[in-house]
Amino acid sequence: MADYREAPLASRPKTLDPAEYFNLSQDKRRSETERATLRAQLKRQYQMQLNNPHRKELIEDPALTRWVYARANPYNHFRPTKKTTLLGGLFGVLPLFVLYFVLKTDRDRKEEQIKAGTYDRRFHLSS
Amino acid sequence: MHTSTLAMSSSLLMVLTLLATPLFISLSPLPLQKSWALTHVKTAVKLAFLVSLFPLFIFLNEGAEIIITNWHWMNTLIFDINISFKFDHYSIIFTPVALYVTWAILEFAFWYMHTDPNINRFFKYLLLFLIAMIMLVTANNMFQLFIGWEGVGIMSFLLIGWWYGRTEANTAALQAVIYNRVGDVGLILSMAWFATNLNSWEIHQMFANPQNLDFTLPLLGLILAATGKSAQFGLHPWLPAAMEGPTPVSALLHSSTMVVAGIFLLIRLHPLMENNQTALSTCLCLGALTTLFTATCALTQNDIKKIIAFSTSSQLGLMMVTIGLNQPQLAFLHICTHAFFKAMLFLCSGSIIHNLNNEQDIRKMGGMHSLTPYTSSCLTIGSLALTGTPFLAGFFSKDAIIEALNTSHLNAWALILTLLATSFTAIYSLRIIFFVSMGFPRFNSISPINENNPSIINPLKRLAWGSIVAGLIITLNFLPSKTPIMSMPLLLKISALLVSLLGLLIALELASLTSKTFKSHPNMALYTFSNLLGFFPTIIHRMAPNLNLVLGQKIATQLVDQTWFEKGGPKGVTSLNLPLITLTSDTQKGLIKTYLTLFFLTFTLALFFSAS
Repeated sequence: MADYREAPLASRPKTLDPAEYFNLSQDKRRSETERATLRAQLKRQYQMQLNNPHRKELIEDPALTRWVYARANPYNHFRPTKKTTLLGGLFGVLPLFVLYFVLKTDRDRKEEQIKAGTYDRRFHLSS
Repeated sequence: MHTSTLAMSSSLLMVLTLLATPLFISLSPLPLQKSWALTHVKTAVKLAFLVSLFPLFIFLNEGAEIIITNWHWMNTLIFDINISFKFDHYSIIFTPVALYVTWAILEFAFWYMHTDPNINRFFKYLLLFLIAMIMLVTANNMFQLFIGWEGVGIMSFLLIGWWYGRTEANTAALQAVIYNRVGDVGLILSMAWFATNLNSWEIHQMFANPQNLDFTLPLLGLILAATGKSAQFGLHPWLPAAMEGPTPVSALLHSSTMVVAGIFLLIRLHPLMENNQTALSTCLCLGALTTLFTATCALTQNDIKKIIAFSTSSQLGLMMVTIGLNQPQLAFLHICTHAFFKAMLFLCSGSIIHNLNNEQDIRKMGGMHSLTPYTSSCLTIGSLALTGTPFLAGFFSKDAIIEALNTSHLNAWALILTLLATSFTAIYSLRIIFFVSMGFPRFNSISPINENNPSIINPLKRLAWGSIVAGLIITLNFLPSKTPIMSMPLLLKISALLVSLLGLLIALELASLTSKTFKSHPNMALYTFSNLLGFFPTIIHRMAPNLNLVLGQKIATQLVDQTWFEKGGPKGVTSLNLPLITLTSDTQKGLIKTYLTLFFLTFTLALFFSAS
């Protein structure tokens, strides 16, 4: 695998990254070990539940529960901050004004042309 | 009445009656016999073909063209819609060709769909499609053409989704219908324009243009309709996806008859387009782009039916180029010759697929020449005709088109693209033959492979004869309506042949590379572009709707609807009202006995004072 070249827009997987194996500091090694321990414990919990022959229900995933709760209850945790005000105004209020001005200007321009008699009806069916 | 006119009208109406009779028989409540498909439908189509030869010979002998107006359907003071059939040069030649090809396909389909419990319904659908196609081709007014147009669209939907339990088939059928609908918008726009400006939908009446109107808008509408129906670039993905249907459907609809309906429309209404340079240039450039793009996509596909589908799309682009060159009769010639060899290619692929137990990947085929020699020979004949080998059917149309292209005064871009696409045609045709017929088998020899069924051999034989002699016969018997340019430099004259030969040699060289090693990290950019169909379906079918829907969901859940509107509406009103409510309801302290005593006291006092 010495000449392994990843696909153009993909990133190199962690297990093939040479920086993973050489010149590691003690802190990094300690943190990696801790993370690995936690992951092993979680995996053991999950495997116990998965391979339990008397289990009839689904395995509860707390991350999924949190995500579904967040999707169903946006307003309870809503706070008007600068960011939310800006985005709400940008997507909710601004289109109204922009559309009003655009459509009005276009309609007025057409009216001017009709009044002056220069309106181009070349492609209109009802001529 | 003159005998030949009488003979022609009766034969032509007899054709339609013969085709419609099995449909009416199938309406009866009694169950159909098991081989109804073979005894009734195939016989009807065969008889209809033989009957339709009669008007063809009368036309050859005398040049008689007729218009039959059968029924005044909806007539107002100023606008008429009639049931009216126009049998001119184009429909008289196309009807026997279509019926001949359909006869071969139906005979093949009886073998191919033999184990299907709903085979009678399948044949009924095919027959209904055929009737709609004949109505489209012989229509004398736009309304009847529209009936045929929509009819073929709906039957295409039903037939592509024949195996409706399969999700890809349903998606493909839906794709076909939606892309066709986009094209139909153009057709309806043109029909509305014709109705309001020319006051008629009769074709011969539309050609008289005394007011010198500008036809650009309806012509662009017609070109949009042809783009949708004939799978030009922009509305092309439905054609390769339509290969989800059974092979007889691919052979009939998506190679010979339905997809040429758009081109046929443009050929029919060509007198409107002759003087309009915008429309002609649009056709030319669109056709050139289509033919090159789809030929590029065909180069790296691995499904045999998809390669042939892209080949069809490429030839349709070539027909569009011909229309853009102001040569409708050459486009029509190419339609007729293309029907033969393309249908044969599809039937050969169907025979191979069935023999290999439904294997469609060419990487898992091989050595079919020694296993099914008849089929692979027909495959070779069809591919040779497709690439324009001299004096086979495709040569007369394709070479004439390329000659006309070379000697016309037009932009070099369209010319280069078309020549490049011609060489690509040779490349992918050789690719099919190399992977399917040559070499050694790359599959396990589990199912028995044989060709001893006349239901396969006879259709292939008939279509092979057609692929060989059809071009010659049609060219010999019909004078070209526009004078072809006969004298040109030698290089231009043989350019089509040279370019195809070049493609063939390149393909042979590439094929010989398949058994040698090459560099370990090849540059895959062009291969990926071609294999993923130019990323067109990825972007248009997935990315654009995905972005739209994700943005909509984000606005609805996080940005505006469930946050600010809740605050501005119900929740905000609640938060304003709550203090007032608590204020008023905190004023009373719950001393009911006191309140009641006071009430009775004041009540009696009021009574006392009012009484006295």
